[in-house]
Amino acid sequence: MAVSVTQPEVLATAKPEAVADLLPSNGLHPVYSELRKPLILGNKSNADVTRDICQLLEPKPGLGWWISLSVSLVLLIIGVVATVHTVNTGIGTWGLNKTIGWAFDITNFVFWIGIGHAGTFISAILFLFNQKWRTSVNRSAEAMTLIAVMCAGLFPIIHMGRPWLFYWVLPYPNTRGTLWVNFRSPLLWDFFAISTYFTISAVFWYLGLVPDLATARDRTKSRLRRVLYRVMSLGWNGSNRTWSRYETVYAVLAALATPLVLSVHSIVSFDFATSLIPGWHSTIFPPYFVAGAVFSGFAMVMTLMILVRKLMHLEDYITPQHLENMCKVALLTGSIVGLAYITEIFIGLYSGNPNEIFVIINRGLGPYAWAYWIMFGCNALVSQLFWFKKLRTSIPAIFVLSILINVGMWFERFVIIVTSLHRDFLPSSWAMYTPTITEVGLLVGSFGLFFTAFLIFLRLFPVISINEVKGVLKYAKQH
Amino acid sequence: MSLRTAKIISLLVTVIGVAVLWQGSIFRGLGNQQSYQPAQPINFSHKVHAGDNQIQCLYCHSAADKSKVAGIPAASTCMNCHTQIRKDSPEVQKITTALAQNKPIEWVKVNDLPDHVAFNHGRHVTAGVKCQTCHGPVETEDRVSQADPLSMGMCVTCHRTHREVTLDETGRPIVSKEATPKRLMASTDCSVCHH
Amino acid sequence: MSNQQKRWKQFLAAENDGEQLEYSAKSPIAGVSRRTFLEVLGYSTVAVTLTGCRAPEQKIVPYLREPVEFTPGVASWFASTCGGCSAACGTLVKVRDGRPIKLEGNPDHPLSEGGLCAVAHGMIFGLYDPDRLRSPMRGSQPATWEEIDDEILGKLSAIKKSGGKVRILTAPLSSPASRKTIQTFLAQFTDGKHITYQPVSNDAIRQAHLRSHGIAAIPQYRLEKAKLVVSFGADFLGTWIMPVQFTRGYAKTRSLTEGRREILRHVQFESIMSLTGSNADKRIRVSPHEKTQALLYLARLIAPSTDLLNAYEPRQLSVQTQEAVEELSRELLSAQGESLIVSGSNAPDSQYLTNFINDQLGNYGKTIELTPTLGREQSSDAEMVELVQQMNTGEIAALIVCGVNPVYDYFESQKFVDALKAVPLRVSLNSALDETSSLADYVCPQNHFLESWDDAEAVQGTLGINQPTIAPLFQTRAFQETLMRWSGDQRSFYEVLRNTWREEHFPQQNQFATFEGFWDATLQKGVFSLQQPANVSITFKPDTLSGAIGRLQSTSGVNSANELDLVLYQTTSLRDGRFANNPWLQELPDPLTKITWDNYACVSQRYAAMNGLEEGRVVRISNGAATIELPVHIQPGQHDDVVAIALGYGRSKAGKAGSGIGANAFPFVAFVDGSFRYSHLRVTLVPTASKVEFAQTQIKDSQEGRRLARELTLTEYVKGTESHHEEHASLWSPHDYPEHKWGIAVDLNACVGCNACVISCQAENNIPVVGKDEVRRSRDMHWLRVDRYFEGDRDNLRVNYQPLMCAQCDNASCESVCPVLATVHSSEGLNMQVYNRCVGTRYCENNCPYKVRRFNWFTYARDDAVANLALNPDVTVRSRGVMEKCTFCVQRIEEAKINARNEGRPINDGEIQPACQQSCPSQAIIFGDLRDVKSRVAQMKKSGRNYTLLDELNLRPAVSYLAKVRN
Repeated sequence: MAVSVTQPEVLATAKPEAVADLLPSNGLHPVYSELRKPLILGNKSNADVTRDICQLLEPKPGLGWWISLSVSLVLLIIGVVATVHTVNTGIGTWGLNKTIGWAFDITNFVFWIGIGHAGTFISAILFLFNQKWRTSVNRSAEAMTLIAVMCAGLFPIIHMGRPWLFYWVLPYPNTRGTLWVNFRSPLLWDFFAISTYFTISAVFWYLGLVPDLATARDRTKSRLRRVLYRVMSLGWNGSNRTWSRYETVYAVLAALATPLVLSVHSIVSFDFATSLIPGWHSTIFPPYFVAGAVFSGFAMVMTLMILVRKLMHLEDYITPQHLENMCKVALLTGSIVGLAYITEIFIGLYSGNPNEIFVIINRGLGPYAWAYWIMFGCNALVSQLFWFKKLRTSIPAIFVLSILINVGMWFERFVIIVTSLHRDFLPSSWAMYTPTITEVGLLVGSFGLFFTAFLIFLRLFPVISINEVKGVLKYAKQH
Repeated sequence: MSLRTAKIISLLVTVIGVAVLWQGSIFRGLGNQQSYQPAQPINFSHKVHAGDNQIQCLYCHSAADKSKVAGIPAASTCMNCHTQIRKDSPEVQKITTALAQNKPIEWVKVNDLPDHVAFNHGRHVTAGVKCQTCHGPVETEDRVSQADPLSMGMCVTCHRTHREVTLDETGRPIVSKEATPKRLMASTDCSVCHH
Repeated sequence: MSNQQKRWKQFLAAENDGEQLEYSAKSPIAGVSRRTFLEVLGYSTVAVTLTGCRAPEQKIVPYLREPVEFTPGVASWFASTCGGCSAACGTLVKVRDGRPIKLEGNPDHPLSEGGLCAVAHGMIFGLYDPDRLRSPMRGSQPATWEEIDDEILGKLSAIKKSGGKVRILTAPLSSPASRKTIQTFLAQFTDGKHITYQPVSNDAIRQAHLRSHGIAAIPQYRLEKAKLVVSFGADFLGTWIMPVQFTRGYAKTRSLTEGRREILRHVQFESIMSLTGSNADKRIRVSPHEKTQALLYLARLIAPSTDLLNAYEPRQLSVQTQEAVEELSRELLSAQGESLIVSGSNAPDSQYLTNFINDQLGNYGKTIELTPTLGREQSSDAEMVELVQQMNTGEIAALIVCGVNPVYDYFESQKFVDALKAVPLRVSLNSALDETSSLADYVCPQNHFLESWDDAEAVQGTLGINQPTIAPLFQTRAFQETLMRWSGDQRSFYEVLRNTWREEHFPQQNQFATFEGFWDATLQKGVFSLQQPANVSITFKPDTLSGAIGRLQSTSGVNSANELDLVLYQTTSLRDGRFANNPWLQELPDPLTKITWDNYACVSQRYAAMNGLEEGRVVRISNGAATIELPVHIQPGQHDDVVAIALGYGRSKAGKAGSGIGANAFPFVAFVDGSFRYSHLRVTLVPTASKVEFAQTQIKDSQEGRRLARELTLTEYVKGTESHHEEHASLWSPHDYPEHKWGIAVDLNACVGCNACVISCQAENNIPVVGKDEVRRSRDMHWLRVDRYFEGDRDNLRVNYQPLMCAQCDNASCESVCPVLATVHSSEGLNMQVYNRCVGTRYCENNCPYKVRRFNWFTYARDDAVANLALNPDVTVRSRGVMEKCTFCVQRIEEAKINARNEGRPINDGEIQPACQQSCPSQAIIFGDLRDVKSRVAQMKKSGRNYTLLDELNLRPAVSYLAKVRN
């Protein structure tokens, strides 16, 4: 007898202990504990969850989605134009000069890498710490990570004088008497760190997606989607064995991914820390950068989640409580960043090294002081506002603050790169930097790419991890 | 795209990828001109001159031992002999007319290094490297072809293995035949060829 | 039933349900296979195309007839003479495959001694200047020489009959043979005259000597024999008469090598900041008027006996100037016969008084050799003015202009233009269609000096030969031959030259028996020195002294508040504007202002502050008659009553590079009692609304208290200072240098900041010109730059110069960060930059503390076939997106190594000279092998003055500096 398509979740995604909830539930019971708030509101049954999430994929997207997509596509096109212009004409189309070799390009790169930290942090580290609330956000956070890392990956290539030769950075056998690459160069470490990080995150994200893809496969009406989901769900059947294997692998991957969260941005920070430019050459960079990355990452997750829950009507799944938790993480990491700023100033002034001292003064009072104070205000100070529960729980407030934080974090990278370079050892070669329209175009374009990809993700894959959310439905229920 | 296609494609990619990586040499890269054998305006045969008649390379390529370039002989050089020998052959006639009309002969370049490579014939010839080492058995060819890919790998391999200069105790080079303990390799500094 | 069973059933069912099969059956087999097929096809096609790749066919064209003594690919050198200015320095011309590609100093030349100035290095570009005329012109129409010759011969013969006046107007010619040719040409006319014209004239010196010693000549100033040189505004290191020779002598007497303890003392009175003043031990900032008064006061203190002067009271001198002069007079009196006073003024009276002081100090015959010399047979400024009047009245039948451009640089340009219209036959022998040529009936372009024969006798007894190093590129003809044709002489100028030498110079020497021997030797050496005639001691004629003193006393400074004293000066790169179309020189930053591609009105800081002027504010400068608009540059060390403007800018018809750069200040030149005046000019200065940004290569002036360009006083030095350099520990294992370790020592005490090295480097290494906008974006490409720092207060400003090339560090910060190994350390201590490996991450640029790396932001213009002939074939032309930097001229190192090895000998010390070192007039840059303890550079680095820049970073640079010493 063939299985009816009416209740496929039984076949595909029901975990053994979850079967009881298949019984139709009347809205009244059960009673909630006084102590624990439910993570998922609206007293959902497993069936409700499946339905809620999967029905986001099927129907024609709403107006909101279309508007957002067209806007981000416009930005993306701007970015493409800027890139083509750069590659055709040369890096001269940017505002760089003999003294300042990096500015917007690497700023954007580090910024996006930073954004890319929240996802794996949420899915791996919070998983290991058994934070149940992660379940409703981890899926989209991970997607965001992947997309952000892609955006980041573009810049090191575009910023090259001869981007068509970027593959020379890879160590591969060649006819040059085998000429290898320079393993002393942080740029090379970057390449390895980022590609590893991307791979693991991608696998991790995909693995978490498999059961839900199976669900989608069994529910979908569209031919195309069915083929896609069929291929991608790798013939998932919800057998006990599959589930247990799945859980094991997931845990292992989580363990694998965790150190990467810390390693990637540490290594990115080596680009600066291992050089000798005052303001770059600093030992606190790795922890400082990692904290900053998680900070900006969470800010971006919050921004996105607030949009998503509005756009896709997921208020029940992504609750103020989730946002509040993320605010707490942002508060912690933000404070670390603030501490790092102060430490930096202290080290600089205490070092007795005239160049170091000069850099600190030049940052705070020099021609780029405005950038420095934007950075300081938006990161060190704004994050402190999350001490107030009122702000932590008010969605609009969080939305504004999270955006401010990302502005601040972008400027952090800008300040580190430009203010250190533009006035270094020899006053004779001091110079100023002003971005060109092309560089702005690239920045805008990266956002275009980011949002376009994210919006497509929203339509293509279950935006919330169905199977994991089902796991936390009973959270806070009494038995 | 079905599962099957996916499998086939990935298989192909892997196979070819591996092949390219580990047998790079058999896949000719861009700009590799090995065995390039263009037609020349005059059917000059190295076999006849350098092979059968044993004319020294340096007789025609007279700059090869003192200059960067080996030098293509001037038409007048040909006429040193060909005013006497086989004046009437149509090929020799071409040279005679060229001289008469004052129109230089435009040979087609066979061995062509990129502009960013500064190879010095003089040094190699003086150091005793045979022409054939790079140019192959030219004396057996009727029409010259590029014997070697002339890749950087080839130069470097040779430079890594060839001993050339011996040093005295002050570290200054003496060029002498007998071996002394301290020897210096032919340089593999990039700037030797790239500047 | 229980859930267990239910689930079991379902799984059972799942296993044997047909869905899987059904789906696969439905899957479009055909589609799959097609895709697969296409995939395979794609891969195979790629493979095929890769193997099929062919580069475009290259032709290789040998000679038809082998030229003698020539090897393709090997450079040959010819000794010659620079035709840049009348100083006629000795040059060696590097000719590679038939093209001159580099000028270098000729060490055998007794005057320039291997030095060359920036302008001379630029001459190579001048040869390949795309704006040169390519054929003779009738009006603006190209014509053939035959036509032109016929027509002009016709007109000239008519003039011969009518006995009309013929004038030839040239720059001062240091070539006896050419002067002779001109004379023979003029001889055929009843009234023919050769007039020389110098837009920036030093005629006053000749006039003064005519009055004081009866010889209208510019004497030989021998700085190398002086212990104390006092300059009243003479920029003898930059632009005055023979800068290279003077720099050479200056550096010699100031050199502290081989343990010398006492050096030349240099005192400068000047109102603007000049290159020379910036090097002075003591610099007194005076207004032009005060300068004259100081001269008078000095004269009085030197010669108290002269009752003419006792009356003089230095009322108008500021207190510190007065004290300075008094102190100076004491120093001078104790250095009699070993001192030298020079004045840059073009007022005969000031020069006359200068001669008087020099005479009182007994400097004539010692530091000043009054052998009739440079600018004999040079006509005075007055004659030029007279000529213009004659032209106006229509007396002149024919005017032949050769190598001068009065329409641009004559002080009353309009007057000259009108006068020119009144001349029936106007012929220009200039090599480009410049302001004057474009008004001529015929333009008969002359060869570039590198294409022609000539000789030069800048100083009597020193005969330079100028031999052609390339056949004329275009349909041009040596101006001497042109004139010979027009006097019916069909010979080549070469014959004439040889004859002159055979008849005049050969008898004067007794070294060579045969003329051929004499000629060949001279040709090979480039110069021949006749034994100097006995130094004629002519007594000073004081008869016109009283008049001079009277006139000088009567001069007055600026009186009204809004009035300024205009000082017109020349820049070391453009001089009088002759070479305005040379982009190398246009982009060469001024040694002091570091501004390129522009001239500007320099004002003092205080004046700017008082009048609310900021850098770049455009002002209108006017003297009633003439008015120009220029941006303001605030120049430290300049006098408050003075505005200084560079001549040589504002060309309207210079060519692609030079036209419309800056504004022309020649209209402000005054003609006062018989000589052109470049100072004591009253102007008003009115700010306008507009403001411009300068294309400046260095924006920050001070060292920010970092000890970068160090200096110490002579007393400190004599007391003896230990080397500041101590070895720091390093984590990197030291490099092994089996054969050589190249290094450079820069003697800041010798370097005067003249920038010659910068252009020499640019010519040698194919460094692109980027243009005004790019320099504004701080993207200048010079591999070698000269940093300039101002220190101290406005009254005694200290200027320091520091040439910066790549330091080739042992612990190089650039090497460790390049991901693709495009910059790596060589076994000889160089940081090799491999252009073809570079992908352009610019990480090395960021991480270089000296900021000597340069990035190719664009594909810089290499589209002009003619200009490209100037490229050095031994140096790769870098593509877009590639980092480049100084290589210590590695192409020269490799060449020398190969030669040495082929000859089986070690490389001798001094055999390799980078372009910067080779033609440094002050020999401040010493290159060599540091492994060879006996090498000159190793010796220099032992000096107590030796230090490395940014030593604390422990980069262990191969370039070190020897601190400057002020006396």
